[in-house]
Amino acid sequence: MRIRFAGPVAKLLGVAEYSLPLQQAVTVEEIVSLLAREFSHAAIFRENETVEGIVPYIWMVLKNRTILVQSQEILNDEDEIYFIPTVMGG
Amino acid sequence: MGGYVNLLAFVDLTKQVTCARELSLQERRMWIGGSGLGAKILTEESESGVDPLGPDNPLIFMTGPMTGTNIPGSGRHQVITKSPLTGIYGEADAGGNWGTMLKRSGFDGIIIKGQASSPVYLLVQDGQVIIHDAAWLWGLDTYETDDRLKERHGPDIAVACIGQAGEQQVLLATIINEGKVARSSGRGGLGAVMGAKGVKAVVVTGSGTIPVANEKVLAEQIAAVLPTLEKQTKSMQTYGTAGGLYGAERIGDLPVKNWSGGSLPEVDKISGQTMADSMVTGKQKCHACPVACGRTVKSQSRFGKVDGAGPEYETLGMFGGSCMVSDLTAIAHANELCNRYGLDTISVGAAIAFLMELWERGLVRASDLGDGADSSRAPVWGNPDALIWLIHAIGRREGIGSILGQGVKRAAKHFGGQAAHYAMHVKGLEMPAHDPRAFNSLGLGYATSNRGACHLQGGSYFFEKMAVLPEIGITTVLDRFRIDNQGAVQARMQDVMSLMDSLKLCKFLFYGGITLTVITDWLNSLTGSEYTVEELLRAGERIFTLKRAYNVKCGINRSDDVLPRRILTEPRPDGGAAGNLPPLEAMLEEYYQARGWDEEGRPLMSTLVRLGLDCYYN
Repeated sequence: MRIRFAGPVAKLLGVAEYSLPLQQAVTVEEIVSLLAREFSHAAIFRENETVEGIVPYIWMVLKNRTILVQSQEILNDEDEIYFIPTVMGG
Repeated sequence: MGGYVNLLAFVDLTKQVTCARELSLQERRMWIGGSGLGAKILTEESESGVDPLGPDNPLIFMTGPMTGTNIPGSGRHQVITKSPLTGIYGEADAGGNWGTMLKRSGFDGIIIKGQASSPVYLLVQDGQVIIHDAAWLWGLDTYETDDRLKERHGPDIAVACIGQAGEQQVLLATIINEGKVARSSGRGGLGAVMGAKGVKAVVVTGSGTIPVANEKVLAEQIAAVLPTLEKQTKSMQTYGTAGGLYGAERIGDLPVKNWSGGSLPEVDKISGQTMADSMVTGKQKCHACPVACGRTVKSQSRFGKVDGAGPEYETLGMFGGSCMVSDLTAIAHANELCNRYGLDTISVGAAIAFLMELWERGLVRASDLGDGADSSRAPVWGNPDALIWLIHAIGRREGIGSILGQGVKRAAKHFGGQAAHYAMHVKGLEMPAHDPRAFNSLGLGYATSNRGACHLQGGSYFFEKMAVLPEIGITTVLDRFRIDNQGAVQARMQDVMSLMDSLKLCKFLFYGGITLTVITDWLNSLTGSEYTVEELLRAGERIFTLKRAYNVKCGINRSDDVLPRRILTEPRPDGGAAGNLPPLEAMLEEYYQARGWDEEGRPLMSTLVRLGLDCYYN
């Protein structure tokens, strides 16, 4: 699976793209857990684990360029996801 | 009853008299406060055919029961009038400290009618309203006005005032409060109504307290939800509303090139994150707010010095996205100019983007630009010098600015030909910086909002990104491109937002996980009443429907519940919302049914009777 990080998120992580081969379908939440281990310096991923429920608040996740997905969305290896800063306010 | 100070002030500027009356229990129960009470008073105190800039149009400043309390997000007030920009119901919601001070002065609201023979300002203090001469303030900008009034009356006042734009009745004029950390009653030209009345400022101060029926329980209820609220709004705490710009561009929500583009590669240059790194000096919060979404900035550039409120998401979206100006210092300067003149940055940005498109298409020529135009100021996409020059022209009502300052609908008529196709408005109000092609529900919301194109009268896109609201059946985040069940959901969201505008609570609370049950509990502890969620939703529906009934009297019908043709027929060419168009007609049909309106968009008599509104409509 191709994982992309938008400008400010990429700046935080130090990479703009990341490849994560998937043997089976996983949820967005599980991807976040994997990334929390992979980017152990980035508290941003671990923070989401401490919140109950499915609503993300640090970032939004865009699947295949247009679909905004929530934490329980099932993802496959051929999907591309994009972590972008949340849109609040305005 | 807690929450209210229970007194309304009435000012007749023509006769130079003031009086006051108490709020009735029925008024509080049916109309709550803020927007609801204001809409009721506007309907009762004026004919729908009233000239918005004439003496008989009331200008109403209103708080809600929650304004000024310890409830998070309660630092808000509402301004209500007939809009001179749209010719229909007009209102704006502003944050800051002004509403709190109004209640401390001893009033829940002020209703201003008539017209002063020479400029005045109102001093509202400890249960009295005094009309003062304002000739010495006339001509000053809003920051200067705030400073001068504080020099005269001391620092413990709050000022809501107009700048030169309001004085000259520019139809995009706002009312600014909080001085240089400006909060704005932004939309619909309310500043022009204030200017037409000859009122430069409304100064509020006082030492009164706001009664709370059950202080201990309320404090416990607030403490119980505060951690979640703080956690879930962390992103906005960190970057303010401007932090949303980057994500908005990626999902195809940000207007680009007067709504003709799909993506903005230079978004990073003007994002809230870049702003934080380059010019932010601090956070600005309204009364009792744990989020503090406002930002103060300082910058020095060839455009001048900026020291005060920083540009919000909407401002960055319109100047940066729609006009494609990628120089953050220019946008910050443009924002400060708008604040000082007292101009709505959304409508001003829309008007300038409209001109830029007409220029590109050859529908406007150099001779149309008038005095002050030269090649460096040509209205080409992204030209910061054009942006700054045009804001001055609009604020001073000079040259091309006198055309643009009437809003894009009137400006399109002035230019004629194909210009109307590029005028992006609904019912005369320019579209804000969220694209209905990125959220279908926003299309329905813009088309049916009672003040014209508005993202906050329904706020539906909140619940298609990250928020839920179980009391109206939204238990998971909704699909932004869905086409079914839009009508009923939009109607309920508009009812909820009408309620929030009447309680006077910030809608960003929904991002923080605050539910209607929590809000109802707060209200009951505050007032000592026993409201239910259902009763409050019914009040929201009543308030929304009264405004619609007012608009129907103004001549609004189905043919006005539309979107600009571009939004309905031209998909964004690329980016996160590429290819999508909102299916407005199907959504509208379902919406009218859900609302209990006829096929022309008029509330049915059975609906009016059900809501207790039949006495307002015949």
